[in-house]
Amino acid sequence: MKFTFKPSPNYRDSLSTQGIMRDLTIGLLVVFAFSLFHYATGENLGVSYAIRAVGLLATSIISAEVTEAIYFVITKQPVVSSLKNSFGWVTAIILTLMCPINITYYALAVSTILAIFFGKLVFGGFGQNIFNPAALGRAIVMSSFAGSVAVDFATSATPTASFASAGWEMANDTFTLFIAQFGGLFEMFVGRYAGAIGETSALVILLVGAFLVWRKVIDWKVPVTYLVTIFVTTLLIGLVNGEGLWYPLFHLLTGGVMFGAIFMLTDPVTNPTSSAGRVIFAMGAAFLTVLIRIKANLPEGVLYSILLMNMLSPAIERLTTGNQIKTLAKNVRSVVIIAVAGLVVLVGLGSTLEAKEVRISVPTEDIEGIEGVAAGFGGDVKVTIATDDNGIITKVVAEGKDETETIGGAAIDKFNAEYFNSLQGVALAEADFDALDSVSGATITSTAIKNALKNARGEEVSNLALGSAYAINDDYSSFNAKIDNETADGNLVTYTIRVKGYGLIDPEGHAGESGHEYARNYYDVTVDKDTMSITSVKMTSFGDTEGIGDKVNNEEYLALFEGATLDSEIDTISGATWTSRSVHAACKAALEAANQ
Amino acid sequence: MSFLTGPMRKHLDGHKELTNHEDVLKVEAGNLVKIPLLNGNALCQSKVKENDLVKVGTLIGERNDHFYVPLYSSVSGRVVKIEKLMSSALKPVDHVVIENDGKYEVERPFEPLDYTSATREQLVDFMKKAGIVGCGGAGFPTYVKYLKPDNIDLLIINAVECEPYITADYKLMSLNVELLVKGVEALFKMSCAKECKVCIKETKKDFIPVLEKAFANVDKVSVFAVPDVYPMGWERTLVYEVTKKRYDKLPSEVGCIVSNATTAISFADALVNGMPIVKKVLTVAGDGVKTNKNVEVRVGTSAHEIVEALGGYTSDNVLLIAGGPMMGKTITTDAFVIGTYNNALTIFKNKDIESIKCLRCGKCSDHCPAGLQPVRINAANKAHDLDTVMALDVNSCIECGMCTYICPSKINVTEGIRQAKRFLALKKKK
Repeated sequence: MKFTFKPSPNYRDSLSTQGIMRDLTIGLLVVFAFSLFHYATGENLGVSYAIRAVGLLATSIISAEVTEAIYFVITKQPVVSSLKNSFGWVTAIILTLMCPINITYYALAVSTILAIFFGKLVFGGFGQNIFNPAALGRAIVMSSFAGSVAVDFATSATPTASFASAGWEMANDTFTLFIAQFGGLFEMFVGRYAGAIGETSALVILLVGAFLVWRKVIDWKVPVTYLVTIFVTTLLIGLVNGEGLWYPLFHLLTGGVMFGAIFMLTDPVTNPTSSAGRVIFAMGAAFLTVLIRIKANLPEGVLYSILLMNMLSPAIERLTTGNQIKTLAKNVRSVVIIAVAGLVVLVGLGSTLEAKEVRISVPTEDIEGIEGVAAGFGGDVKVTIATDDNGIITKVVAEGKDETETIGGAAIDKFNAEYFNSLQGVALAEADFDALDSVSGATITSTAIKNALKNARGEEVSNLALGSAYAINDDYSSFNAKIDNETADGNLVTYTIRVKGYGLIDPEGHAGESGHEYARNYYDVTVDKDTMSITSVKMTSFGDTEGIGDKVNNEEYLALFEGATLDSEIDTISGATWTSRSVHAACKAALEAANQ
Repeated sequence: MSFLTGPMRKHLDGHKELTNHEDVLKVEAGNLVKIPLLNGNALCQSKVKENDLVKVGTLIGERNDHFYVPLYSSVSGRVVKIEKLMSSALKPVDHVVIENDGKYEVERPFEPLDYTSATREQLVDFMKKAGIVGCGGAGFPTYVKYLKPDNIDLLIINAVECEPYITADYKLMSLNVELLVKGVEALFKMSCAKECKVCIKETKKDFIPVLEKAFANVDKVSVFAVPDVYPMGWERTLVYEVTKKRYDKLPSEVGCIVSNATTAISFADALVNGMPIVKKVLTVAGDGVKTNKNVEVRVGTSAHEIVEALGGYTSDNVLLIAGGPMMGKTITTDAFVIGTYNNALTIFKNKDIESIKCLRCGKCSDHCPAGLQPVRINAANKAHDLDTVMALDVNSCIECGMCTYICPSKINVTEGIRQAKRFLALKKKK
């Protein structure tokens, strides 16, 4: 008979660390399963995306486990049991879920290895690390592998990145258009929009979070404090800027906020251990998330806020040292001070936010009607005019997929959303298309839309989009026009002239000063010596920017110079002003030569 | 504001159903009864010599330091010797060994007292002479609490019994409701309190109405149901639950006196029958013993005799715990005997528990009823940072075992805290 001695208590809860990690793994896999479903059934996605997601997850897990196994072999620890109690796969899954679907296998594998080794093992392994290893891995991906993407897998702009480029501030009605691109706030809540593999579905993440709270895997205070703090802060910032309730909701739903709240901030290892400490931790992370979003040059604040707060964990521990009952009043005071200070600073900073121009790609409606086409900046701009039986315009839609997204594309959206409204109810035959507003900075596209409208009505329109006019007698010295040759035929003299093109971008006209050899355009300019006017201009060689300057080499445009004298003013082609002016320079040189 | 402290308590599986509804088995004392000369942590002096004849109720020992506690014989017979034996407090202690003649002749050490007519001072004096000690486990002499009841508003009768497996209090109460009422009335009178609350777990659904009925005619005494959580029976936790107040050292700071329900019954027994504590009801439970039951035994009966009466052990390697599994100590022999302060034996098959690295989850800090941060105390202790150990208020630990219980990595957290306390004490001595 043996009576064994063991120190009390001799009674244990059924909850084990292994069980916690098992439940966490299950929760993460549920989130992953939703992603697979989203990829397999989503618009413009497909099974290949789902297969890639599985491949990425496998890559990360294998990288993590192999790294740990090698480490355990080198440090002479029992490999199998150490692997089992090191939970490297959890880091791997979280990291994978935070990455975009088009990350390369290579980038993910390297980041995982670095995250596991430098994020965890060098500190002494599980339970000892300072930084959340998955967050560290994601930071490595962001800073080192931003360009390492698989081109076959297209990812569209995320709401977070788009909203960040709008300066985290937007007029209420613009937001309505903006959020419609992603299917609305509810679709964002459900998670069917572009984003990181596992971060999009607030719904699924919250359900998993509830499961994990119920299973006592995570402390509910952390996500609740984090989300409530973000909500209150952004609600106040929104109110200061006159935004509606959508503003805080968008902040909560976008980016990694939900995922971070449930899976990253709750990582016990890198958290303070006391309740008060964790509340301060979560609140600080929330303030930093909002601060980084609205004031830093980063699209997303969740990740870095977590890493920064990880760094502050020991300081928070020191702040909350002592008996929790005896220090309760002090802890309440700390929390209140941090909350008030954070709100004051952030709402103050938030009040300085200014909305930036933002490109909103409104899906164009398909309508039946007469169509017209005109040359735009990058390609053709197409319009469709729908009329009723009496010839009254009911709807106008413009399309121009080759236009620059943020300039011409935005102009087309503006026309579709606003400017065309003035045409509705007007008889097609009487509509004054030239009276439509133009979008400043997008003259070519605006003019092209108007031309396309005329074209639809059956009018002949010039495809030239003309900009400001310049006098032939202007100063063109920086074009450095040189006459290479001249041939006379009676009173007609033809000069072969070389002129500097736009070349390396130098809109201030300092071409050549740096000693570089700039692109050249060659013209044959024929001058009638009797009238001292130009009879023809031909471009014989084009050395300028393709796609822009070559619009000048257009018979219709060059014909504008026929009959020009030194006193004439000739239009330039908008968007190709420099190259257009190189024609002016050539003409001036020819006329001056003829004059001597 | 548990938002910033954590819940500081936890429901744990009490396994009370194992013994709740079983009858109490009387286990007769053996030929030799050994009465430990011990009260709490204090040793007592023997008042008898070899070959003295004693009866049930004969004074055989006394605690005579700053407190007075008499010890009485539980059997009649002859004193064989005074022997140093292992006690249930894991200390070698002198025991009075009595050869039991099996006759149980009684010698009343004091006369019964009518508590309704007695003065408060008489009652306190009577309690002192009767050797009534706290039956919550520590064996603190009860009369001390009632010496100077200044500004006492509330008497709390602790019938919570929050240790898992133990049902002895519940069993004793349900069999002695009348004595309980009398004991509570007497204590209430002694406390000079304005009100008395008998606190019992809300899960004792059958018994609460019984108690309510029993106290229905007793003025200012009510039954107060408390949640089924550990350590609800700890004085501080209970006082906070009832009054929402916290105190520094003693409950009297917030106008409370707390006494155990079993103490009240023992006191009533002494008042009515003129008998000190010579018998105890004990819960014997766990998977290490064949039959799980409450037993009534005479003080001085050995654990071995009790377990034999219940069919013996189920394994040849067991943890034999004097008390419940949370706070009771494992004893390395079953020769130790039951004292006035014991209320349970918990016996488990010995199973190995594999512990892994701490994941710093903080569950120990969230659930510590004293508001400590065990994970950080252990970390500071490991780093020999005794200043931090001190700053973390380690000496407020009552070793309730919650931190080890809750630890998902199965670390012996409580043992680490004990070690930190010892290091701190050593440093102070220097």
